Amino acid sequence: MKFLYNTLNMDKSVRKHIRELLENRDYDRLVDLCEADRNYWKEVRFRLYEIDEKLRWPAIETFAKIMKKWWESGREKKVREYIRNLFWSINDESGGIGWNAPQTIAEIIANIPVLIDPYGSMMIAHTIEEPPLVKGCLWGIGRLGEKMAESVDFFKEKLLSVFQSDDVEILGLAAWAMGEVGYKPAVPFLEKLRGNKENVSIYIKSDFQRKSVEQWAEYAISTIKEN
Amino acid sequence: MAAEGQEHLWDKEEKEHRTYNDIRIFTEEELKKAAYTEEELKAFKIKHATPQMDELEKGPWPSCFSDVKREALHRKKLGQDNLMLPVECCEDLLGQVELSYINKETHWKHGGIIGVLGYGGGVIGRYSDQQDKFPSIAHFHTVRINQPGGHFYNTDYLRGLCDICEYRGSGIMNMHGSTGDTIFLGTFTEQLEPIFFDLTHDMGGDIGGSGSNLRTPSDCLGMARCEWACFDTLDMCYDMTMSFQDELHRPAFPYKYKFKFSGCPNDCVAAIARADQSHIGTWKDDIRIDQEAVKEYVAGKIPPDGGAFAGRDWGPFDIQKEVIDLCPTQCMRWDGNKLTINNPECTRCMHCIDVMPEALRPGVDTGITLLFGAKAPILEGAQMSLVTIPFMYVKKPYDNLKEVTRKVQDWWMEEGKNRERLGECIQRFGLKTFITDVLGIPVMPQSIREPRSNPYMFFKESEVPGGWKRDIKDYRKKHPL
Amino acid sequence: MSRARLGYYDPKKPQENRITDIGPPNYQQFLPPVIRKNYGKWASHRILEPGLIMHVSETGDKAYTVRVGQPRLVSVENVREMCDIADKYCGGYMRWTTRNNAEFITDSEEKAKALKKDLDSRKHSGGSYRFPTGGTGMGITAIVHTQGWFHCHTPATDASGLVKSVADALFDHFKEMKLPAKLRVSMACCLNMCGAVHCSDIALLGYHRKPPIVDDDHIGKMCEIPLVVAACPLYAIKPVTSPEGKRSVKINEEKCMFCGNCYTMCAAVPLADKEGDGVSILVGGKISSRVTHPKFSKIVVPILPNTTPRWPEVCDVVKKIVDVYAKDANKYERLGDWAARIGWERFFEKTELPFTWHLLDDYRLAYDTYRTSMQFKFTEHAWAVSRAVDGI
Repeated sequence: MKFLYNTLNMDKSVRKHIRELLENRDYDRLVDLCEADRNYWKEVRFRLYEIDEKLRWPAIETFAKIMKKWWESGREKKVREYIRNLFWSINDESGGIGWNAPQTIAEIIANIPVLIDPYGSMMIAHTIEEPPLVKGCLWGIGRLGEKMAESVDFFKEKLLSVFQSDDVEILGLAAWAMGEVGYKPAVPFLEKLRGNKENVSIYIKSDFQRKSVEQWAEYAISTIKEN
Repeated sequence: MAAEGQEHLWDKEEKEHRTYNDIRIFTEEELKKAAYTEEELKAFKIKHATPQMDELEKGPWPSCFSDVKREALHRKKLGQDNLMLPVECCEDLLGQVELSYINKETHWKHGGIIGVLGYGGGVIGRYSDQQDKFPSIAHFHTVRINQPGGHFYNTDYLRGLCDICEYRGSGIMNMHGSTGDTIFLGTFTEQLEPIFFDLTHDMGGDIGGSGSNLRTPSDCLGMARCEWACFDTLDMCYDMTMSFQDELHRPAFPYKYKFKFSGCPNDCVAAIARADQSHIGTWKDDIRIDQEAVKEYVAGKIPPDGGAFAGRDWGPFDIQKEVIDLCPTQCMRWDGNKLTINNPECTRCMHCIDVMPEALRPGVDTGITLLFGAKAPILEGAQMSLVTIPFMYVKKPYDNLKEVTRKVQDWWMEEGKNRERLGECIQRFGLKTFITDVLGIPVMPQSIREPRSNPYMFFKESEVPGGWKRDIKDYRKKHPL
Repeated sequence: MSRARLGYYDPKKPQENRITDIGPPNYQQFLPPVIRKNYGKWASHRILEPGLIMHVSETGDKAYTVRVGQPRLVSVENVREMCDIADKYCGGYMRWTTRNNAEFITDSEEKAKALKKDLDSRKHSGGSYRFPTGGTGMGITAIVHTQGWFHCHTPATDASGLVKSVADALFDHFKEMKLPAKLRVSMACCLNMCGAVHCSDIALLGYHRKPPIVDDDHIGKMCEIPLVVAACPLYAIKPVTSPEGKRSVKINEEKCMFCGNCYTMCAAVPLADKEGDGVSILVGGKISSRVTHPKFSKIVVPILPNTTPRWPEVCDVVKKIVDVYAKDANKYERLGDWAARIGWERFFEKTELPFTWHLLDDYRLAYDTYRTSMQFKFTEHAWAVSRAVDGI
């Protein structure tokens, strides 16, 4: 990696450039720039804390694609260090909060499947009991689908208890996630969601899909029944 | 980034300054109604029996236990309608601490990842593990607030903070946390965003840092009141804080990183002991001497050390014993009439200046020494920061300093393992890598106490004539078996 | 400010009106007039009496600072009372120091003395001072500490109670300036040592003494086993797999020094236990480069019990150390300097603290602590060794 030390003015232009690239989902260009210039790579990681979803999800995806590139070019140790940094940000000892660390971890595993063990189950363990991270946890489970079946079963009680939540986003995410995993014990909980017409938007395959909680539940039930 | 035009928002010396009354939460009447007399306070009993807490109210040192009780009474008098958190949270807090005193164990659970949206730190989550006994402190999160430089405040600002803390929290603060932040000790999850909005909108303040980020920088009061300040600590700390907001609020480092700014080698902010990047003021010309004042010290007319020894009779001041002989480099002379300092031999330890502040002052050609790598014992052991840049002039906008900072941070972000402080990273890679490769500066003896005694030197192939490639056949021709 | 339950925040539109990254308020607006006028022009200072410092500017102006001790953990009522005082005497300005004392700055000696009298007259309902003046010169200031049982989830002891007890025991030294040099006392409730405890004249450290317990059922799912193994600086953890294939770790308890780093990395190896927890005492650290170099604090008492509510054992030992130091040290000698000059054997003899094997370093750089010189003094400790080999 080359070192390009920018002054404060160049920082502002890097930020602007990154924003454009993220909004346009120009992943190839983003990965190249991050490889070449640390300031871009740093900026992408700052964007993981974005509230604006149009910037945040592409930042998550970019991060994972960079990890994949490094893994495939032999920089496996480095990838593990970054994953450990993500876990540390959701460890209560750190004092910090990695708002989107669970999603980022899941996205990395989706790109580098061998990392499911142990990071998949660790992702659930670190987040399922932390209210601000539950949605990220559920999204991560859905993103990884069947690969998470064993872990989901291990954390069965805590995961199924989310269906008691009042938060429609949690219900929608939980429904979708259980369907992706193909988790049969979730079916009675999914059936109870019939009649809930509130809409929930979920980021799937690089885009937002919007359905009602009922629809997410139905889709999940049919997916589970197919398997 | 910075709130434009808000630098004098609270300035009492400006005409249109914001006052407490502009943003207060509690009205004058509410606070009057909730007033209590000293008798009421003495007679007040909290709802839990706390004999051990009561015991800690005795003795001269200010008792925070009495203080928490005071807050408990005030909350009772304000009434639940005037508070977002339960009235009894201070009473429950004392109750739980009493239980800890009995059990000798903490009752704060693990877990507690919490924050405000968009920021990756600044809030420390806490949940009680005795929620049925003490329901009003079921969550009891701590909010770190970036303190004003030098911990200077005015009463309008402070009263504003008090209102937020009492209305949306427990009414208990830490003035200040170890890193330097102003702290609200205890609030519910639901109140975190409202506190943040009150802070940014009405107070013109911001949350501090936590997590693997740049922690809230802090400074000594420097030129505000200290005659020894060799650089403007307040200005530099503020400027660096504003320039590194992303690093502060959005943790992207392997572990924590701390900036500290001390105006002189006395190091009142303990930069050398705990900052990854210590900025300590120094000078490179001569110590200023007022010979007449020196004579006054010798004559016993001015007390040594600014009068710091006044509590005990140490006998008459003896400049030879107390200053000349104690100088660590023996670079001073007193001939009975004149004090001379061989300045190139002075290591600027501050002793003579500390002893005779009315006669000696630091030089005027001032700047900072940059030291890197201090940390607490976890994990590989404690380290103090090491002298890296012996002297640099520092003037707004501090570009030269920021350049060095980014070089160091960029390298550490890249190479640092998870939870490896800068100091440990320097140890792992070696001082040579840090100095010549990362910083790209020459090596100097000032960075070490002594040269290495172990002779295991890594000469480079390029330094050795002929390189390292040798053929065993050639060797055997000369040295047959 | 808004009184609504959620103030200015609308959970349905979290981004709306959100202000971020504005940093702290600018310090300039909080500087009192006498400070602003003389910023960067201060020339000298003098402590007029304990707790009252006068600074003199090149312009001839003077600033009078009254310093008060504070417990760090304060109620808003306490802060409001300080605001009332600041409004009355200081034009509405005040500050705190880097060690949690508070300071009130005025521009007249008369005001300062009246202020001092007022501050010293105020007491809490339990009899303690609310704002004791002092903390200047060759004595102690506020004891820097951490959260303890009031808020921390890994403490081995309480902070506020221990600090109150020790501060009460050393109160004279806060009010008077009769020590040979400054004495900085700090406290940390666990090895994480939040604050500069590792470089204090006297440091109090909460310590755990039981190895972690391993949660075999959960650890494989919650943690990266190689990382837990690597977390131990003494290589006391090794990975194990049960016959059923369940992954876990085994801890070599003989090698464990209870640092808790494995627990920090993985919640499935919890550490704390009230029977083992206690307080260690360290001495001899310093931060300034005055006369001698900065030094780390060194352990001199491995463990004392958590006898609540007042930690009498800790207070007695600290008081003893301070008394011996005050009597024996030369002017300007910090505690660590004094111990180095008389020799640590003499330190243990004079303070009557037992010297046990716990105080021998066995971690990285232990070699640096060995005495590899013929310079030593004879004390009872030495004769005991000579007798053990029939040497005398």
